[in-house]
Amino acid sequence: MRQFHSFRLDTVNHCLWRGESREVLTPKAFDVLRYLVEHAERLVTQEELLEALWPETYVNPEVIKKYILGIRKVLGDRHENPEFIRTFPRRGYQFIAPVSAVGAAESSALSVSAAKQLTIGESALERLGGNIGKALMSRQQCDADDRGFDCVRVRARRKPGMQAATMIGSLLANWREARCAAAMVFLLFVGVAEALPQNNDPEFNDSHFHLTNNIQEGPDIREFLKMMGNRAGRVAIFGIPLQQEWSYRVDGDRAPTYYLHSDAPLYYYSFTDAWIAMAYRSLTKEQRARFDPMITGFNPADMYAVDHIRRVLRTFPGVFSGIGEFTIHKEFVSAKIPAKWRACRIRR
Amino acid sequence: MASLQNPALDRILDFAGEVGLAVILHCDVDIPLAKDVAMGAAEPAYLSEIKAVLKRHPQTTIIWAHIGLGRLVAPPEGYLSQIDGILSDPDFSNVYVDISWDVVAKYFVASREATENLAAAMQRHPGRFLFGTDGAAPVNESKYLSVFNQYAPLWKTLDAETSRKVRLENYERVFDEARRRVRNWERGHVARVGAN
Repeated sequence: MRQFHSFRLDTVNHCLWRGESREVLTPKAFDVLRYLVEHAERLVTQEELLEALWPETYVNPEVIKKYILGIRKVLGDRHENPEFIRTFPRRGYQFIAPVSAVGAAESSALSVSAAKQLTIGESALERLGGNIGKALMSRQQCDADDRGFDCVRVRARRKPGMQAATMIGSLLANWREARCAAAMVFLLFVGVAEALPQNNDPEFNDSHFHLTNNIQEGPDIREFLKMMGNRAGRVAIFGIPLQQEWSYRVDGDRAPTYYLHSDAPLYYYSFTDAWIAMAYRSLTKEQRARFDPMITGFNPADMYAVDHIRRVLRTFPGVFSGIGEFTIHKEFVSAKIPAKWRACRIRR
Repeated sequence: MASLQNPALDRILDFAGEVGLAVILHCDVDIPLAKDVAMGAAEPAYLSEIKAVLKRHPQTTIIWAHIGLGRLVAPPEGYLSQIDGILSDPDFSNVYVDISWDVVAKYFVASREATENLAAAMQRHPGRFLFGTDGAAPVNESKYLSVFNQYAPLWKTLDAETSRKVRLENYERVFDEARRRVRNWERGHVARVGAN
């Protein structure tokens, strides 16, 4: 959540707030504004915007003008004397208003307040639920003269990360102590609040992750997204380039799944890159944004390795962000690659 | 044996620099079990070759995986000062290190001193360390999150700003830039697909 003047850019729920009212912005206009705000105080060129927001697609740069115009209208900004977005003719734009970060608790309260607005309206809530809504919004116990709601109100102080199901469970346990109508409205309220994306900032991005193991097995990428949950934000994702051979001569019926499980050699398995690219492409745009796929299926001792990398980029444009993890020296791994493929030391 | 001087590697790193591809390079800094077999060596076996290769490619963003450590490569004596030396040298401004892998986490949470030393190095160079799990085909969430949880003593020791950079922001900076540059390269080198 970023704040500038009386506006808040809610990057979790993808909306713009002025005070407590939601401004209408198309998703793409929101993306343009967000990009400018996140790169405030420097010039963002038209080309950079096109690359960032329309990857893989040709877009007439004039389109950006249209979005900027729409954003200015919403912000009440003026081209000739701008407060928010300065135009550098034929070059680009710069977000010039001071931007500050808003804490998670505050922004979470705002999403609850948004839920309230979107569902039953403040007056109805006040009438039916007494101070419950306020308690939810502020997460502080309110004074109340209606003792009947004490129990509900206390439960309503939702802690970060607390699931709606838990809250509903608590409420149902106290059902008899609450007024029926108010409790029902409240459950509806919680349900709607839960349906909105929660503002749980991720705890980490993972710069190093193999979706597959040494025999190219691993979870489906959607299963992996579930494992990431809210705790992992973005992940640099790749396979493992060195496939463990199952040599019947060496291991018989004992199928090795890890490089340390067998004396049989490892070999470069380039298909791992196609596997990762296809997994990535099977995702929605929002899911894709959480991954940075890496090319790894090449032998770093091969002068032709760059041709593999180039070929992968051309086959799967719009997918990869980097190369790796690839290995030069690694304990047993180096020795398990057949000598003819091993990178040999060349004295120059 | 060994390969940091192989021109094939230089070609790869040059090309990555040209395209803007971020690079994750695994190279143990030392031979396995060096503490036992190479007592008294002046510095880890591959350190000077690694530094040379990193220096030869200043235009390439290189993440040196696991800070050069591994299953059989424990941090040599004074190792973090050597890393500090690299990260302080403007010739290596293209270099990042990741602290991924459970075997690496083990070294740094083995004692309070080990954790504090790593935290101090990170606080001297908050923009240069990245968290990673090195998870491989995890079977469930707790398995996937285990390395992050293993580093709990580090997260408690770091100041809030450095912690945030190591856990989140350094990744965003490196990979946002990589995405931007690679997409730009693709515009010029790949037949355009789709329109508007």
